[in-house]
Amino acid sequence: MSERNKDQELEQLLFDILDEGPSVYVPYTFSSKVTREITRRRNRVNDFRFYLLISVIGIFGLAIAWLALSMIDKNSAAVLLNVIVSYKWVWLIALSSVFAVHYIDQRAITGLNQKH
Amino acid sequence: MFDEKEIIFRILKEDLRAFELLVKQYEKLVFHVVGRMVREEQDKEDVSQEVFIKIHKNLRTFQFKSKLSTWIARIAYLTAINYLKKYKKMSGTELLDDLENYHFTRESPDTVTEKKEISNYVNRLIEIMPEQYRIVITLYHLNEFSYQEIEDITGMPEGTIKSYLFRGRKLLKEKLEVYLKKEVS
Repeated sequence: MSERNKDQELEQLLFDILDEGPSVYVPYTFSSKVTREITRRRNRVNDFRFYLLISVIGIFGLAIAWLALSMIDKNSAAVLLNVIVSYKWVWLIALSSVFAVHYIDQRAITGLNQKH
Repeated sequence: MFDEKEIIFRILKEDLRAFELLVKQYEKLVFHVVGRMVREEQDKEDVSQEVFIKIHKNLRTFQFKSKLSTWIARIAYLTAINYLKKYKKMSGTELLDDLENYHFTRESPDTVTEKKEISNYVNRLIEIMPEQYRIVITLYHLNEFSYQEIEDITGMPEGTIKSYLFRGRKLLKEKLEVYLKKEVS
């Protein structure tokens, strides 16, 4: 066989191999894993929004209660404001705890999903 | 038949079953692109998953100006590059020198007669090439993208793509020639 023919044959062999490529293993459950992860992330965002909404409603609720009370009885309103301000760290810790528990919960779920 | 427009329309209407169909349609493309860039098996799957999550998140921005496969391959390419940069796993051109001296010393001549073995040899050579070569060869040969599409995906100029492709194939051919000669002798 001439050098040119050999060269052409070699090139053809290389092109065949390149066109074929390596065998790729895609896990059978890959697509459902992806959709599960999308659902999980979407739920996380929705949960976060829900907790945020609850917090905002709580703060507004307290503000409205204080406003209403201050129209009826200024002394009681002052006591309520005093209680709110005195326990501000308790409110903050309670709120932070809710978000922290939610965050840890999501991390745990992610860990479990990655294991399976 | 896979109707791209209809599937996209359904995905945009929050239909996750439709997205699962899209994943099934393009998972091989994504695994090929990511697989050529990322070496660790588990990371390949994680990066591929991240690619599809990005696709789902950004599908609204797809304008049908290019083929969906080109758009998906670009996301896969950029995600893999980001992963390599993040974990400092980028390989430079110094690997090309390794490639020049690359041999399979463990294989006896008896085991290298099959085409499958030759194919494995070539694919292992590609694996140790710098990623620019790997990605250009993969996109051109395996996924049959045009030069223009590879330019859209990687952002490399057409001349650079042609150069990588030419040099990569030349190197592979030379190595293959030596390999086959050893097999015969």
